[in-house]
Amino acid sequence: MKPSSLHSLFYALFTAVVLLLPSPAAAITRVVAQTSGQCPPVTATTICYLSFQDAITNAAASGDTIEVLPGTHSVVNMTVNKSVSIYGIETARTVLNGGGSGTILTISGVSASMSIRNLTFASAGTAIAVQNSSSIDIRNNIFEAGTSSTAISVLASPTTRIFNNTFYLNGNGITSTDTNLNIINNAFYQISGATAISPIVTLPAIKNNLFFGGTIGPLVLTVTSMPFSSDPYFSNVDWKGNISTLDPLFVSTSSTDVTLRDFHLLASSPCITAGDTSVGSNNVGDLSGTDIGAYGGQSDRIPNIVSAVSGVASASTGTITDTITLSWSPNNAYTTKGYNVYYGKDTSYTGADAIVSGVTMTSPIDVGTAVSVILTGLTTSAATPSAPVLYAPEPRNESLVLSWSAVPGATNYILSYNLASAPSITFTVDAGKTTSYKLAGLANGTLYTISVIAIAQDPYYLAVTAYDLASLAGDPGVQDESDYSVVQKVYVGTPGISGPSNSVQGLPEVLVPYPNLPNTGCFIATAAYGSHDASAVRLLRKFRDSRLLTNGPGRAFVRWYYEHSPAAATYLNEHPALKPFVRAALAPAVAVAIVTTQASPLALAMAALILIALTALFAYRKRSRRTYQPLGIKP
Amino acid sequence: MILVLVMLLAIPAVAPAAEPAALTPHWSVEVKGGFFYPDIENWKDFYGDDRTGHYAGSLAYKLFRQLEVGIESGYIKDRGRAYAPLNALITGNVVYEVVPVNVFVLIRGVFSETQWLVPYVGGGWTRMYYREKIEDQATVRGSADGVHGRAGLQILLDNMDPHAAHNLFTDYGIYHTYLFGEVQVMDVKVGTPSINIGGKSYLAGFLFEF
Repeated sequence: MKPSSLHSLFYALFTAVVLLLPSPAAAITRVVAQTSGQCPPVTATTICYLSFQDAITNAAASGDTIEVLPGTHSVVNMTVNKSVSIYGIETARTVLNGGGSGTILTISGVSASMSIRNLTFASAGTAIAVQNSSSIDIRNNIFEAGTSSTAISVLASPTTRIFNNTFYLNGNGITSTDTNLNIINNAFYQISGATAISPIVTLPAIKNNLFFGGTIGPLVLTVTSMPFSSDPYFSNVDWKGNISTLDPLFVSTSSTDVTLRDFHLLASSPCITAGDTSVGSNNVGDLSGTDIGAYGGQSDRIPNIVSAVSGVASASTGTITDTITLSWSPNNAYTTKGYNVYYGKDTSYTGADAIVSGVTMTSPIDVGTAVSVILTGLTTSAATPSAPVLYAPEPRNESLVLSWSAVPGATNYILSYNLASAPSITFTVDAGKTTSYKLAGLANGTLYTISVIAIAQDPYYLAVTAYDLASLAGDPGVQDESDYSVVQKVYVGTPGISGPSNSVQGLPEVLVPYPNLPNTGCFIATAAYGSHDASAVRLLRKFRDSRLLTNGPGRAFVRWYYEHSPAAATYLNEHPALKPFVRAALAPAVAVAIVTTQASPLALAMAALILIALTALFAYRKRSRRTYQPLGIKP
Repeated sequence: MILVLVMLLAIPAVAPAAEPAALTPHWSVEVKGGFFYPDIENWKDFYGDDRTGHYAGSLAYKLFRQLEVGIESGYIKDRGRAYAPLNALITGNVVYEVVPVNVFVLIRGVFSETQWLVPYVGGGWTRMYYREKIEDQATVRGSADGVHGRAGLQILLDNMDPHAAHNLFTDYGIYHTYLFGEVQVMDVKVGTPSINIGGKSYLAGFLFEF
């Protein structure tokens, strides 16, 4: 055989062997979502799951990554024994909740490198337990396991690296049996008496962390729990880059909702660029340094959502409303560089007609660091709705329950009503978009005439995002820009107004329950005056109905009185000798009832004048006594 | 039919009862539920049905096996409409609640601790507490006195599962367990002219003797 033939044969064999060899499986990204609507399209390398457990224990192979989408995921006693990296899309809103006990994640027997990052661990006995593993990175996470819980427990896993995490109010920050862990750039915000790191580990491995005892006590550290060479108490020791006693100055920890706490740093935080750069420089903020805490180093690059957004329409020319004033609370993270305002006639935010400061702006509008913006020139074209049909009202005590037919396109309904005896004086009420309304504050026994009109206006939808890098804005919730704020739906433009509906008449009145039972033994006055129909009792009842039940404090008093009067009335009935005294005590109340329910406005004014005069006279006499007495002269 | 019933009452159970059945307990507790039919005209027009739920419990002491005295409390509630007299309309919402408290004497036709069927009849004094919560208005409340009568039939369950009966005795000290059904009639007049806020109840439940 010729050498060339041998060469050809060898080449053919080699090719065949290469083709027949199984190709290495491609790493798969396994996405954990809360709803199928969150899932990305499934591809050869991307698969979506609705359960964290399904993604990890039932599917993942070494080398895969687990991508957890924002939401609160219940994860209890999950064991990971393959090298799968687990990361959240947005640290603050991607929560693994342990339900208060047990261990959220146990990393056991993993020797290849893997990382756990950009997640919030909440409510667990232990958030993460690392056992018999090596090369595990735990970084850029937030730990809120609980004030009696442990955030991270490390057992026989000496090369574990724990860096750029925020530990907030945990019983124990890190417990370990190993002596050479790397604990770097973490912020420990502990309550007094809680332990940040236990037990002592090799000194060089703990560096550039911040330890703060919160507002309750002085400091979380003890000389046995931290390797400070000198007394760290109140000393703001800077040793190996570690910082003690200084408040890390997070943006906001006040919310009770774990997903609404913002552990980004305020501009004056001592954590800014105080970290060790060996684990990576910041990817947002000050790129030349490394911040301490969950958002330092290579963090998730998504600012927290803008909160407290309000959108208000205002009239700019006569009755035509084409202007929206949008405002929001600032995102105080020092990395926030500005805000984008998204607007449009639906939540795809494709608006292109808003005028800001005289310039027509397409959505999104970059407003820089401003926290409000006025959009004008918003155009709408609402069609005139048809008139609704108003049904017969249902009478109630001092109110009427109204209902009408829904009108397509109507955005709200305006009720008009007047006393049948005075049709020229009309009152209006905006009933909103509902098709029923309780018209309150009416007089019993008075006939009212009511009609309703439908209003149609077009809404604009608005939302705000914060960004930390302006040039990459336009992709909310993905990178360098927060997800949308709460959407504001604001109606603007010239409204389409229907003609009035049919008119109906209603007569509010006191309802009679069935069966109509006597209200026995519940009123002190009834007991004192001996009869439910006594004139004084009738007056007090009228005072209750016309003066107390017409306002909130009055109704509260009546409720309180009804709760407590039966016992007093019973006692009074059992001790009739007390009735004259109670009647005397009730006399002022009866007088007030007479004045307020029977008297004319002139008589009321006269009564007020007399009361003022009597008060002044009383004060004068009292003052005169004080003047004379020291001199021993009787007034 | 009556003859058969009398024979059933008179014949002790064939199966041996649980060991403690030989003893004669004095105390008993019963829990029961069923339907209450108010003795008020046009009730259905306002409450949509001529009956509503009735739940009750009682504690009784047997002076001897055939005679017991006790106290019972119940709860009756219905949601309905009110009346607007000027408009001549049934409208508005009312929550009607009644708590009858009965003190009773009961005569039981029991002649053996293992008797399968035990008829009983009794009655006594009733105090009825009522409350009417009216939409947007003050609540009406009060109470009235009256009388009640009741009759029913108890079925001894011990013999159906002697093992369970024994366990009930050893674990909870319960000697006998009965399933029972009864008819209860209450007559409680309120107001002038008077309205009877009582009515007829058909109840079923369990009775535990200890």
